[in-house]
Amino acid sequence: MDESVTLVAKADELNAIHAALERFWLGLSGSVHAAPGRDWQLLFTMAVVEIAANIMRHAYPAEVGTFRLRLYSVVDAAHACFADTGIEFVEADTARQDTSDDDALAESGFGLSIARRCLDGLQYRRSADGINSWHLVKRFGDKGVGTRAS
Amino acid sequence: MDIQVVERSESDAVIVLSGRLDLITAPRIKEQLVHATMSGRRCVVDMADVTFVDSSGLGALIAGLKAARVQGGDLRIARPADQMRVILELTTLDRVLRPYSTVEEAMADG
Repeated sequence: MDESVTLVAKADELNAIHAALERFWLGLSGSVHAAPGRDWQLLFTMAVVEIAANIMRHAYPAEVGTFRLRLYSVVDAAHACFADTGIEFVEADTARQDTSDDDALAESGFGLSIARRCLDGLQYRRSADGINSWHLVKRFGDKGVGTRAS
Repeated sequence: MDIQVVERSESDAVIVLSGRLDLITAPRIKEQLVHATMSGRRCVVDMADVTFVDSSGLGALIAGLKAARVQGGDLRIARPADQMRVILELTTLDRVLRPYSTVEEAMADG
């Protein structure tokens, strides 16, 4: 199963991300491999949406740009690949929430942490010619949240 | 996303959300939550019809919670769907946004 979309990096396009995921699930349900259950789909969806939102919010601070999302499956896993030509991603140091102090509660900056917990693999690369690539992997049959990220 | 604010008294309000609480809708919801929690109200956000929450949506709820507590009030969530429970656990925010099973339970607690 292979689904690709090219979208403008703006918040409204999150609806198109959800639509692409729905088409992907339909395609998986008709494939020879066992379709992943609802809980698995939720986790993969959450990860894809967080990375998409990250691109929409940060990749093009001074202009309107586009990004591409490709969803595909292999024998034992689903993959999501994002590509954009925006600025280089630099992770902020707000991955963990301090829940002991209300004033310290962050209102943003923990989306990447959520994505990592939902996946078996998350990789970011920036090529020499300025293309940002995100590669998300989640194994089929993985019922829980992942703990690894690269 | 649709939002409905039910002011049950000067001190209590129920905020009913429906749809996705995400990057698209979070800014508007944050504004509504901060406004609803003014005057030190206890606000309960009924999440039963919220189909999806992302980190931006959580940020809006946190903003509402912080605004409520500054005013001497509180913000709680009730009837979250499975996806919301998962994202709360992943972020450990279930410690501060404890999910209640019903609106009445959230309103009555403490």
